[in-house]
Amino acid sequence: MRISIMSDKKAVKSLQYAFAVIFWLALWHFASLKINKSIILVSPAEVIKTLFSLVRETAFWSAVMFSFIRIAGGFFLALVFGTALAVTASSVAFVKALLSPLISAMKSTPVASFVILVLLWLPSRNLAVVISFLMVFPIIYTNVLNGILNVDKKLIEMADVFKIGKVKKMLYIYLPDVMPFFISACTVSLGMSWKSGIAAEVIGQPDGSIGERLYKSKLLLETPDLFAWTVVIIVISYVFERLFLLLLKLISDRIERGGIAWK
Amino acid sequence: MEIKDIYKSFDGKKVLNGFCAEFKQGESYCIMGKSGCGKTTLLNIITGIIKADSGEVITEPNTKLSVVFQEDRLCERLSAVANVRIVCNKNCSVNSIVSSLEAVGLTKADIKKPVSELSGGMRRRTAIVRAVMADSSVIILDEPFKGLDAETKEKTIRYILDSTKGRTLIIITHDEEDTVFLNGNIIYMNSSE
Repeated sequence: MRISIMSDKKAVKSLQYAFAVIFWLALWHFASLKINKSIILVSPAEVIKTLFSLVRETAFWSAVMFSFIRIAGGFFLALVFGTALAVTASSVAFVKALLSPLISAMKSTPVASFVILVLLWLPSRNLAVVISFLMVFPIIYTNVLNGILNVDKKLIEMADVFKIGKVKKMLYIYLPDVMPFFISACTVSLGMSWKSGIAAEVIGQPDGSIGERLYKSKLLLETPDLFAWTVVIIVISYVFERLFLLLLKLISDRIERGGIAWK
Repeated sequence: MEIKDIYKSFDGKKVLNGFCAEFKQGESYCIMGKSGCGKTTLLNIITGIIKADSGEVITEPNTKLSVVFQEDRLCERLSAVANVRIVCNKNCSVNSIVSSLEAVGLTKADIKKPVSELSGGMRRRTAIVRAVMADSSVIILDEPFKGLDAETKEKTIRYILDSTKGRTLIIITHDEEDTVFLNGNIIYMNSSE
């Protein structure tokens, strides 16, 4: 009974979502009909047609791989460094104090300023890695640090009195409290890494990147291409986000199940 | 374990004023006293959670402590077994943990649940089993029977006494009745003593 109520609710939610998607697509379609100038607004059908012709090109896949490797690379680097430094800062007050102004500056610096600065120092090929890293790092660092600082002090005291080993302490005391902060940081920063990474590529125009293709579409007034590439970015970003969050959930469930398991 | 001339004040208010006691290996002790007389402060000093203003706690080298704190201090998402398991050494089997939890009145169904879903009394008994099953030579229990009904309390006391032979047992309580059940040496604490 309970399962059926829950699946009914899920079905209603899916229907609502599908309706919303159809509504906006229809609105877009009618707007394009009304304007009737594909250079300003192309129809959804035309975008899909362009998309189909794009995916048949080898250059399309190499551009997708080029940008994906760099943006995802920057994201993962930020994940590793942000977490490691948050762990260090949680136990070494000096590190926390030292990083504090840097993190504040990184949070409030516009992406464009970072892009221009990085272009002075590095070749544009690696721009997306650095920009994605710079955007994601402060979010991961701040959230993980807050998660660690929010761990129940009384549980830590208990672990110290019982002389619980470092691994068990990390798995059963720290991780359950830090994981929600980490997942929330990843949810926010995954989309941001793609937005900032592509924006950086549009400014820096590294050869063979999505950003370069996007810029050229704008330059040559190929609006269908511009829309098609935008759809591609949204899809890759969404799939990457879903897959990564699913992986995180699996890891977090496994840790929890490992603890709850009694045999 | 010997406690020598412990002094502790909080914001100028003396809580422990030269407290001394000696705990012999394998014996049980009940530390009695009214609320606010510094019993929990003493526990925190013995366990190293807080430092005394002066005085010392002398223990044999490698003395291992296990504690039932006033709050249960359990890992909420873990089961009762897992909570006990994380403090045990490798020789401690899951079956022995299950038997201990059953001995204090938890059912097989309770044992599988995350402790956040257990009642206050069940959580308390899980904390007691954790302290008893931990690899320790001194067990300190701070108001361990708080929230337990008479029957469960009796069962739990029997379990504690049966499972802690040869180990030093220090029970902090303000209930005279506990001292009768536990039949240990009684140490009275007065305010600021």
